Amino acid sequence: MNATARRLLRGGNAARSMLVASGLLGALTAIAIVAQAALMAYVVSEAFIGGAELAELSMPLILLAAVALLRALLAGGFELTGRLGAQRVMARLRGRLVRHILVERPNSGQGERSGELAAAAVQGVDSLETYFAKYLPQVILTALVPPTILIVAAFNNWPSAIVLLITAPLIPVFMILIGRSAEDATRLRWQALSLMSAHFLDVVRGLPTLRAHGRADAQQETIERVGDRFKEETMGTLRIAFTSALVLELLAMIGTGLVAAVVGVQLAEGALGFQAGLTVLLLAPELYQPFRQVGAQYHAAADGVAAAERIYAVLDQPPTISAPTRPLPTPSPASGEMRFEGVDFAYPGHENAVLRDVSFSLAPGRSLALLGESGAGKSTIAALALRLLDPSEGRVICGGVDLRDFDPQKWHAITAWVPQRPHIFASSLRENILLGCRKNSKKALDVALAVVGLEELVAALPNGLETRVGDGGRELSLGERQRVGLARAWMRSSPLIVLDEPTAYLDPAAVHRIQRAITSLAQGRTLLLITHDTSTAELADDVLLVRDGRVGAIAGNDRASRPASGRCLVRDISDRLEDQSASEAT
Amino acid sequence: MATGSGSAAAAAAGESTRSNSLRGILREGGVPRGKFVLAVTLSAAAVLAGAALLGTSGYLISKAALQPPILTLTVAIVGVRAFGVARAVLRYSERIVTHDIALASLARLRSRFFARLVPLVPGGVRAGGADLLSAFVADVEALKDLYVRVLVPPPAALLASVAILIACLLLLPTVAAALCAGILLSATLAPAWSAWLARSGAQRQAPARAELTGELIDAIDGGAELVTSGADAKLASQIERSGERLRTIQMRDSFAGSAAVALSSLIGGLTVVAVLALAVAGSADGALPGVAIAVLLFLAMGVFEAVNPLSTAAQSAEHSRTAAGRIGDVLDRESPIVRASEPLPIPSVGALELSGVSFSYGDDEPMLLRDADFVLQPGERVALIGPSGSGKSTIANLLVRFLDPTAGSVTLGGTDVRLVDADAVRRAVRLEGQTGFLFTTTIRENLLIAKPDADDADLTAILTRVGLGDWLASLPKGLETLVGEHGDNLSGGQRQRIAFARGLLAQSRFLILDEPTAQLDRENADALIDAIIGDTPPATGVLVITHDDRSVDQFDRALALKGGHLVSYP
Repeated sequence: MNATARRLLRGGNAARSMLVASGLLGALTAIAIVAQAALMAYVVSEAFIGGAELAELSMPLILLAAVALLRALLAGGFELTGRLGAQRVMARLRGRLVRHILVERPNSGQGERSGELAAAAVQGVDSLETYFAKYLPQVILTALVPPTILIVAAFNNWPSAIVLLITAPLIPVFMILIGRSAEDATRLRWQALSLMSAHFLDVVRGLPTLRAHGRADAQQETIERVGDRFKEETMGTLRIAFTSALVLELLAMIGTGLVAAVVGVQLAEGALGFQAGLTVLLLAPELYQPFRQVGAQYHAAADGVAAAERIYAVLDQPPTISAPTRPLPTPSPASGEMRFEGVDFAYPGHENAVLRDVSFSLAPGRSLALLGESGAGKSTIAALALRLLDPSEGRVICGGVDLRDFDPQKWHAITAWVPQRPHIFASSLRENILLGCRKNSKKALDVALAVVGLEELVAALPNGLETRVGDGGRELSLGERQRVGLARAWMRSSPLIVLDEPTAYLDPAAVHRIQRAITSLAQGRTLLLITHDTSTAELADDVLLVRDGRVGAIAGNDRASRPASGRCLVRDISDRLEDQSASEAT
Repeated sequence: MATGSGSAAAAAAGESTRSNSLRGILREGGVPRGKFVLAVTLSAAAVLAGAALLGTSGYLISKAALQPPILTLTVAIVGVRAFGVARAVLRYSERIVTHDIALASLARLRSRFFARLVPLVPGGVRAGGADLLSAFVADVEALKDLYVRVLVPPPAALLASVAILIACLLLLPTVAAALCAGILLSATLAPAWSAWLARSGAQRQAPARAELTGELIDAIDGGAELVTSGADAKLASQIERSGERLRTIQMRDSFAGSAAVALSSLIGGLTVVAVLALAVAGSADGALPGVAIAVLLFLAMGVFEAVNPLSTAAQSAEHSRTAAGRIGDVLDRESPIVRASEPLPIPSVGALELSGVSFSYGDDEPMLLRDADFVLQPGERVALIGPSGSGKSTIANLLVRFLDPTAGSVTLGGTDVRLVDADAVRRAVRLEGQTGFLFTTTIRENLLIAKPDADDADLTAILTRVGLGDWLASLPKGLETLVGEHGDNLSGGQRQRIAFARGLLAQSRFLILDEPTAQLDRENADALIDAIIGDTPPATGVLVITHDDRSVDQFDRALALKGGHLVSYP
């Protein structure tokens, strides 16, 4: 917790200004506490020992009311400073998270539990607020209030001060002893919570499958079991957290009681004045109060830090692509040849290389199909060409320059990509199709819809293109998603287009239409076409076989010699591929 | 023991309380009455012990100031210590009991939430992941406060206040009156104010949070596509704006909370000053012994420990109410199928049949099926061909009773499936859904869904049958291999084959496979279709729903869905 807490508090102006403000509020609080005790003791003493009338004490009572107002303002001030600080800090963390996901690791999203991470970045602010508004002020007060009170107590009655001096430092000692294990337990609790939400999401998404197999009721039991485990773990953590509170409370109560006894005995012996004795007694509980509050809020505070930790865990992942400090001007794939030169790729921390010694070239304006089974590494080649990943070994170049020497954002601006399962954003269908598209001509959009075969869908939708799709909106089938992805690529006039399995989920009629669309899409553009379908691969000028992370020879699929030889060539290749796998199988 | 105080209250209020009210939530979560009373008693007793400690201390030093023999102080000194220890132990016990109630009730609510969601998916509710996540995690977590901060503090504060007021009344009635006024003010004004201020914020914060969460999920899941289409800056600034909008609302909430904190502190502080002034006056009048001035001062300070949490309670109640409302909105929807009141047994033989079935999701929705007739005999291998999105999956959903037809009937062995138990229908007719859905767990667990008592030999055999034997043998962890989030560690083909294996494992009378070859290349698709036709037990009727007509010849017959009508294909 401490490393993350320090990181949270060091990072940025929001945290710094909040700390300064809280420090000032803390100092004022310490003064107010002492003033309040002194005034109360004076009034009681004057009335009790001195037999003063109410009218004689009106001035100190008015002052007491003023101190009450000051303490109220200070309490409110702590709350406000902490909460606003937490919100600013969380907003900053969110900003960094988004930047990290969209700029430094653009391909990392697939591995993340998106719901869990988003929850940490949104709901996490609540626990961060508790941390900043409830816990942190008390930490500041523990540093300021006890010393102040000890000094005042020492002036009034040194034996009581010694009692306080002995009991008070015991509190932090116990806090550290108990706090350590509470910290570990809190981390476990947070993991249990994340596990539960991920488990629940998984189960809910799979509810149709569960119901089809009559297992929904059994899953309900599992949810109960996971919930029970969560409860047990949480109760375990809470018991530890509450035990530390119990110890603090005991020390505070016994300390206060001891001060009362020490003061009482001295008073009875006539060794101490009543006013001084009462001042010390009034201050004694105030000395322990911040410690008790720190203990009471520790558990909630640790939650806040855990939420931040979840985000830091993502931020700490190394970038998947490197941005050069002085980028070279970005060449266009429309004029420069793209070339893979001895490219190896393995995901960091994974032994098995996804790609091994991949070399090929893609001339401007030509189309290249990567043909192979799923899992062969075709999509990784696409990610490297799109600069969603950088090669582990070797290089990818365009126009003679390593892609790593360009500004990745400029490169992305001139590429279009249709992944296997296009993500549908929670927005209108129109906005989904016009994703990243600067021009918004109705005619072009109509053409795109016709080309990919979406016009029937649009016509059938009650709100047409304005229908809300994606999360919380109308669900799109895989085929529809695929078409939306293609329409996106159509609308963006990028010189380099990468299509990943564009015909995979479509019915034969649609496949035919999409294949025609691909052909026109390829006109004058450089096209990388990933497919396991030979008939789709035949659309490309060249075909490259990908198998187990290696590429085979480029087969010319020249349009001039088509249909006869081109088709034959692809058939040859796929036959060869089959023979190869057959011979390897035996 | 199991009947809750909440349930008693809700029952008294009538059956109309649904889960979108706090009472409904309390009834569903079930607060054990005994534990609740215990928590309240412990909480009040802890406050009283604290007040007694301070009061006795005040008495002790006041008495001592009169310089009596030290022995006369012994009782007070012992009392101070006893109250101190009692206070610490009581507080600890109260917290344990309260949290125990809260966590047990939450666990129950989660599983109830799921149970009531089951009949609604698919069909009744679109299972939007982020929405449900935010509804579940955020709303259910918010409900924890309902138990910890809302339920116990008010009765505990009442109990403790009454006891302390009685003690004050015995000492000096004017002080009791002032203290009573202070308590009432603090227990009503501050909570009401903070609740009122928080209400608008709480109502607006939830949609802003849901929107921001949805956008973040879009950024995480669709990040690569945003980047490659150059639309990342737009979403990033949209997230920034949503975050700022949320922060604006949160700031309002913060002001409300801070003002309430200040207000309750102020009321408490001023009441103590008033108590002190009245005690001084009483002492001067001779109505109060001077020894008791400090006692009253300490008692007044002690009582606010019980009253101050009420502001937080009121604010938390508002947040819980909003969360409960959202949970209720989902759960109170109607099930898309009608439950048979006295289910008939399913005939053990006979065909699965659609007769004159029409279907639409609602009055305003398009008719997906029109007067469709279809018979699947045991042992038959039938293909249903149609372009994606043509309503083929609706037929599957009707056959397994995820939906009931708008007109016409679905019969199994001649009996209308609406008259039999839906689970019994699904035991006889298994569906493997569209994308080969896999759970984020091991291969074994994914298969066991179909047949929980299958052993490893069964599972290995079935995977070998669908062509995954070599692959399985190559896995270091075998059946224990984790498939990743929804099978992301596997190729599409592997996912589909595992899903088919799952369908086979069920050994049902009819097997419906929706797009089993969607992500496979030609060779793999052909091999899988061969396996489906050849390796499914001969007596099992198989319906394969596909957009791919290349393997049509291998089936006994093929149908196509055109414009909502079922016709034979080609």
